Amino acid sequence: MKNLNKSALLAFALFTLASCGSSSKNSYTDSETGYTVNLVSEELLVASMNDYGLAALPSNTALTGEIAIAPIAVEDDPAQVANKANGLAVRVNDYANNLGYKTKIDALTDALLSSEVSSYVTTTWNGKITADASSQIDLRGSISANPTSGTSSEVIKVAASETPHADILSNVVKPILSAKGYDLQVTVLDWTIQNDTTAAGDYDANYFQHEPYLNTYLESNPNSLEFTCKVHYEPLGIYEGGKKGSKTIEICNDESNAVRAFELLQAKGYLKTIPVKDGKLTL
Amino acid sequence: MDWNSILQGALFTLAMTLISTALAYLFGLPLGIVLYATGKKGFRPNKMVNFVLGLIVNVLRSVPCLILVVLCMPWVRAWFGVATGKWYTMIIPLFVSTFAFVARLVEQSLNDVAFGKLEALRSMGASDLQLVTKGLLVETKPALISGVAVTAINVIGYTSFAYNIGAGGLISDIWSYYSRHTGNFQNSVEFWVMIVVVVLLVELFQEAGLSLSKILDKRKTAK
Repeated sequence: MKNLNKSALLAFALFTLASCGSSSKNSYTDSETGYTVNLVSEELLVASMNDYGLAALPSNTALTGEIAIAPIAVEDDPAQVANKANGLAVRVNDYANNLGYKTKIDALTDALLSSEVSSYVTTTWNGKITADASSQIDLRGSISANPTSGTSSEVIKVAASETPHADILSNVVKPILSAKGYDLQVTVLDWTIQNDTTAAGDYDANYFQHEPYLNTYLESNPNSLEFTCKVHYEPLGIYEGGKKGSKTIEICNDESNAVRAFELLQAKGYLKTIPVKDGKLTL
Repeated sequence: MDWNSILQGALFTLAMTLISTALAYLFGLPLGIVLYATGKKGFRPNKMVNFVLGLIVNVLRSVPCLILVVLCMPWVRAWFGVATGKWYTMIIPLFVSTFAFVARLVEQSLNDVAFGKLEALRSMGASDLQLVTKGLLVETKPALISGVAVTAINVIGYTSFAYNIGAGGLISDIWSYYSRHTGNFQNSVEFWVMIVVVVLLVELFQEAGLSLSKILDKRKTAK
């Protein structure tokens, strides 16, 4: 009898565990179209692509994963380019009040807005990542800065994500800045802590995010960081996975990218209703 | 292949591991002894102290390592000026996430000491301190040394979180290599060479721990 109880308990536990899989914060099923969406960590999207019918990949993820096939659909709304372009975030207070800080951030911003960046992105990634007039946007005018004093230094420390941000900084921006006498030091970090460490002063600026992601951070830390410019755009694409015909989709699991993927999937008709309300994930 | 960066990564990993393991033992060993002494089978049973210390240890062991890394950031920043981007910013989080584990490991080893031996020491008039230094630590030396090897290898695993704060090290370099080449990392020689170097590091710690504990084992064994 005791053994029976034990095995019944075990079976119940296993059943509970198994049923958790379908209704967690990491998955969503659209009852009308029948598609199930799973949220996966960005670095693992390519590795787990074979388990899904479809995969929504940011273009840099598709690039580092050397995905040979063309996407079935990509974001083609021009308003997305300006909204989702990745920018350089700096500390607002220091930019407004510290002349030395403002001088080097201005030099960095000018370098990121240069045509060298645009042509490097075009030749290196051939349209899969784009940097042109529609994404290279100067935003310094929106920060009221009028510093009169402040010490200057030649070292500029920037936190960045691996591809393409650290690539662009090391290969294009670093030579431009060293010609002007600056030493650019790039550190690759987990994107979830880049804003915190930049705000705390570990780095002068960071370059990894788009406006919706920065806005999420600013909700809990108002007036800490602001973009001085936007630089490049990584279009999101829907790719065919390894299980052709399966009604399963994998998308990236951080909030802003998940929202973006859901919106694309809805726009392309894969989902009727999505767990997004006012630009926020409601899973 | 970039041997320089592999060597540098290995040195960072070694430095992080050795320093934080040493710190973890500096605090974990006394804590483990107190945990044992105040426990049911210990020589100074004290339910209250044992419960509180045990709770602290359990809490520290339950919090995910990456969360501890993030929680330690203000502390690290206050001490080192920066909380990310340099190899030494990883030492404190590694120490915090390891010393509770060390305390339990030490307690576990001490529990194996035969009760009669301590009784004998006591009857000869040994003080608490003598009981620990002349009895417990001598008796458990081999187990404690191999525990250091287990801990150090554990810490090598934890250094993977150095990637998240840009602190470098070989394991973080491997993940970084993977995330830049998610499509064809298996075909790269450099990737596998880095893995082999990590295996060598782990072997080194394991073998050093085993042979040291053998050398220091003064207990007579029947032949």
